[in-house]
Formats: sequence, C-alpha cells, structure tokens
Amino acid sequence: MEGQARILEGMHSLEPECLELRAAGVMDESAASQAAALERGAVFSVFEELRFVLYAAVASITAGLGLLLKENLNRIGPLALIAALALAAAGCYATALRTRMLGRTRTVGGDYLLLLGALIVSADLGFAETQFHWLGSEWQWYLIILAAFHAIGAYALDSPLVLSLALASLAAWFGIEGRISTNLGAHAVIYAATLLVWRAANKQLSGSAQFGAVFENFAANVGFWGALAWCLTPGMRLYGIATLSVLAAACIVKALRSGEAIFAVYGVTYSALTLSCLEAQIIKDSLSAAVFALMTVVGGALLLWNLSRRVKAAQA
Amino acid sequence: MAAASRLHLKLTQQWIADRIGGWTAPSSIARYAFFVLGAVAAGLIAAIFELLRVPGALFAAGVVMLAAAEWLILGKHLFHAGIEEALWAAGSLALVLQLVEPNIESGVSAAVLAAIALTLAGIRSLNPLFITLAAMVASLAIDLAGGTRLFGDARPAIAAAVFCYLTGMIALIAGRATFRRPSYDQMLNWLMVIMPLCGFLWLATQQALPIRLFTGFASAVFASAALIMGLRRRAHAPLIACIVSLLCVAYQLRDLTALPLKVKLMAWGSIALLLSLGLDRYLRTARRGITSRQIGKGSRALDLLQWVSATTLAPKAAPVDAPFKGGGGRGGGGGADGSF
Repeated sequence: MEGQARILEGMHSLEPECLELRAAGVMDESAASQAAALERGAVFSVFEELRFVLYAAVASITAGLGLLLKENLNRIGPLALIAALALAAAGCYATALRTRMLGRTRTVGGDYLLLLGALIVSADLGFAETQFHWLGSEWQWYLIILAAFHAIGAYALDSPLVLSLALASLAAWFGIEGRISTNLGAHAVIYAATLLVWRAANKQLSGSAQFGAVFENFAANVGFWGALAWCLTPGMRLYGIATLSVLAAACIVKALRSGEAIFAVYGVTYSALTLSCLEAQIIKDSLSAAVFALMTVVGGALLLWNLSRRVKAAQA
Repeated sequence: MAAASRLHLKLTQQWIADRIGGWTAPSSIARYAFFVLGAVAAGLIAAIFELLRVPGALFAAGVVMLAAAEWLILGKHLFHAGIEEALWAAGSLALVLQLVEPNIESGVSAAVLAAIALTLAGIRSLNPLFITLAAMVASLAIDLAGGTRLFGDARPAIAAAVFCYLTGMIALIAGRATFRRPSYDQMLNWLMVIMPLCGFLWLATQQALPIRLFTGFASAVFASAALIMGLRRRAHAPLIACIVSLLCVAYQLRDLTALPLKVKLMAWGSIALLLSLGLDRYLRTARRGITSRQIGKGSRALDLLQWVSATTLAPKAAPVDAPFKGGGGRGGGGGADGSF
C-alpha cells in the first residue's frame, strides 16, 4: 500500500496517519486499508452527491405536479389525471417491488424513485378528494388513510423515507404545523406519544433499526415543540415545564445509554432555549430576565459539554 | 484531530491523545448546538450591556465576548467546539457595530469593517462559514462602493457578481495546493460552493439579456471547471459546486421554451432523475475508483436531514374547496384544519 501513488492532487491527505494507526494497532487491517484508499483517492463515493441531485429532482417533479393539480386541468379531466398519476406511482412502486422480490438491496436511486411514487400517491389522493369529496366534511381522514398507506408501504419495502412521509401525514392529521400555535402543545405531545407507542411496536411489525431512529428523532423534536408551545401559553406553563423535564430527562438517559450525542443535544438545547423564552415572559424586569436567560444558556452549555464527554465515553 | 474526526476515532484513544496536546472538540452535531447556544449567549451579553446603559455598550460587550472566546480557546483548549466560534464572531461584529454606529448610513465602511471582523474570526477559529460570510459581505461593500443604495436599488451589481465568481474560481484553483491544515481545505470548499451562487444571486433578478447570458455562461464555465477538478481530485466540494452552478444555469434557461412553469419543473426534474438513476446504475461497479455505493457507515446527521427533507415534500394542504374544520377536530378527527 505504501508504494501506491496518490491519485489526488491537492487536498490534505491523512493516508500516512492511516498507516500509523494500523501499525499502532488502533485500526484493524481492513479498516485502515479502506480509509487509506479513500484518502489516496483510489476509492471515491459520489453517494451523497447523487442523493442531493435525486432529492432536487424529486422536489422539482413534485412542485410541478402540485402546480398541475392546482390548475385542475379541466381539459384532461380529473378521472384521466387521477388514473395517469396512479399509473406513474405504480411504475415507481413496481421497481421497488421487483428489487425486493429479487432479494436485492435497493440503491439510492431506487430509494428516491420509491419516494417519488409515494409523493405522487399523496398528491393523487388529495386531488381525488378535492374532486369527488368521498369523505365529505370529514375530509381530514384522507390524511390518516395516506399515513396508513405510506406506513404499509414503508414496512413492506423497508423504506425510512416513505416512513417519514407516513409520519408527516400523521402530523398533518394532528394539526401540527411548522409554527407555534395555541393548540400545538397538546397535539404535539399526543403525536409524540403515539410515535413512541408505534416505536415500541416496531419490532413486532418487523421494522428495521433505522425505523426506530426515525420514530425517536421525530418524537423528540415534535414533543419538545409541544413543550415549548405550552411554556409560551399562559395557563399551560406548568404542563409545559413538566413535559419539558420529562422529555429532557428521557433524551439525556437515551444519549448516555446509546451513545447517541444527538439526544443529549435535543435534551439540553431545547430545554435551555425554552427556559430562556419562559424567563423572558414571566420576569417583568428586562435586565433580570436577560441575566437569568444568560445563566440558563451558560448552564445549558456546561451541561451539554459534560454530557458530550460522557456520551463519548459511552460510545467507547 | 482531523484524523480522529474523519476516521471516526475516539479522542481518548492513546495514539490520538498523545498527538492532540490536550485539545478537545465535540461531535459535529454538538458543535452546531454549541454554536446556537454561543450565539444566544452573545446576544444576551449585548442586551445586558445595553440595558445597563454602559457607555459604549457594544464595545464592552464585544470585549467580554472576545475575552470569553479566548479563554475557551487558550484556557480550555477548545477547537471547533461551536461556542468559542460564535463568541469570537459576535464579539468582533459587536466592536464593528460600535465603531460604525454614529454613521451607520455610510454602508461601505460598515461592510468593509464587518468583512474584516468576519475574516479575523474565521482565521482565529479556522471556521469556513465566517470566511465565506466575509467574502459575501466584501461583495456587498464592492456593490455599495459603486454608489448603490442598500435597499430598493434596481441597478445591476455587476462588480459584486464578478468578484464572487472570481473568488469562487480562485478557491477552486487554490484547491490544487496541499495545505497542512484540513481547515484550510474546508475554507476553500465553502468558498467554491457558495461564492458562484452568491455571484449568480446578485444578478438573478436582472432581466436584461446580456446579463442573463453572462450569469448563465459564467455558471456553466464554473460548473465545467468544478466537474473536471472534482473528478481529478476525487473531492466532494467541487462536485457540489458543479451541481449548484448547474441549477443556476437551468434557472437562466427558463425562457428557452414557452412551456408553462409546471411542465418545465417536471421536465427538468425528470431529466435530472433519469440522469441520476443512470449514473447510479453505471457507477454501481466502481469505474476508475468512482462508485455510487455508500462507503462506510455514512453520517447519521445526513440521514436525519434526508428524512426531514422528505417530509417537507409531503403535501400538507387541505383539499382546496373542503369545508373549514376547526383545529382539534372532533371524535378523534385530529387537528387538521382549513389552513392545511
């Protein structure tokens, strides 16, 4: 390996360090060889670049489709349009099903093709509901139907991306938006609890470990938004503080047990920022409020620092 | 520390610990959180000095922030920890704000000083974001120096755009050099991705044909150069710069046909999708070492970003002519309301 020429020009290479690490026994032979090959440029993955372009492509198609449906396309007629979209979605699902039946692992391209299919189904079902009002005044049940459809698709085809869509549809059914509103607190906390129950049942449903990570991250974030919304709503602050405490404790315990730093970040950052907002609301004197908020943020940073070290130790 | 970070090794391992001289850095996700906490703390420090009505409050706050940042760097040996970076940048910007406060209308000097402050913060903390922001603010200074007003001026910012494209190109070429510090590579990486986009955005609203031709041509040239260099160097940043510049070219080609926007979006998206699928398939077997397969475990942060990005594409709108349903619903009807 030492004799091989470097392919790269420029860019600082850590190949000598890889060799030293192997010699010191810190890395095993295969890991060191792979790392050295990457540093040397003998192996180069464009996986992330492809993922970026595929996302942009799917976003562009979905945006165009949204505009198409918004204009109703009376010339084509709703039935023809619904059928055409269903056919397109079926094509996308068919490739994923074929890969599954052949026992192959889906590539990143296949993942995004499946995501496109799921998004087309979402748009198609929404469009069909606007045209035919099958659910009448209970139209919001289409979001639950969508969530169920995507959940079944996600489990059948083992796709965390499609599972994310199922969770987004469920969040929409719960009325969770990207902004703080009066009702957000209760809805977000119930939604987070639902996800945790679902996460508990994940193994029985033969969901992968990645699904568990999707549930945990969504539940933590939305749960903290709910706590924040309650903390900022007069009359609900006690519920907010109680929820914040429980969630923060749960996230920190999770981080220390699993060695996943992101849960320590959730637990401390959301708590410090929420408490700072709360102090600004309840302390009348601006200077005192700012001093308390600064103490809270500094305390949060110290706690996060301490936890980061312990999480690293847990990883080791 | 770069080896530990890139090769996913623990800083506590003896081989690493012997070489990092007591310096310490958190994980990248914790770094972002520390950066946010540092920025909030900086804002609160400035607010406290303002509320205390200290003469030269921003100057005093800036000195406190810089002192705290230096204490964290020199005393606690923090490197790329986020909090010291936020404090350094906020402290230097607070000093600049104090300097220009009496005549803030003279935007050129304010922009120049802000660019210098961000450059100093970037060099001290080896932070690519600050260096890129400094270059962006410098382009603003160039625009303002040409007599343009900060808001509501429709004149094309050609000089600023040319500066941005040139900065991006210089960063791309400078990437050939080998630096001892990986942080310098990161600075060049950020500059080569962001600056051509910034140059394009300076002129994106201009409808004059020569300007559109210039931005389209400049972005196309940059994309080609970045693609070649990215493949030759086996580097990700030039390839991302190429993708971003190609998006700019696609935007400038919007009037190539008279097709409606929805068709263009679907057509461009389909072309990009098919090309990506083809490339994914072609590179499944490595070609000259280049592969579309993921190598190693990958980044959990990028996975999380991917899941969240997927949810942003999900339709959230209520059926257009559906009757309004109050938030909270009834009978387990969920909380979806007419605003969706």
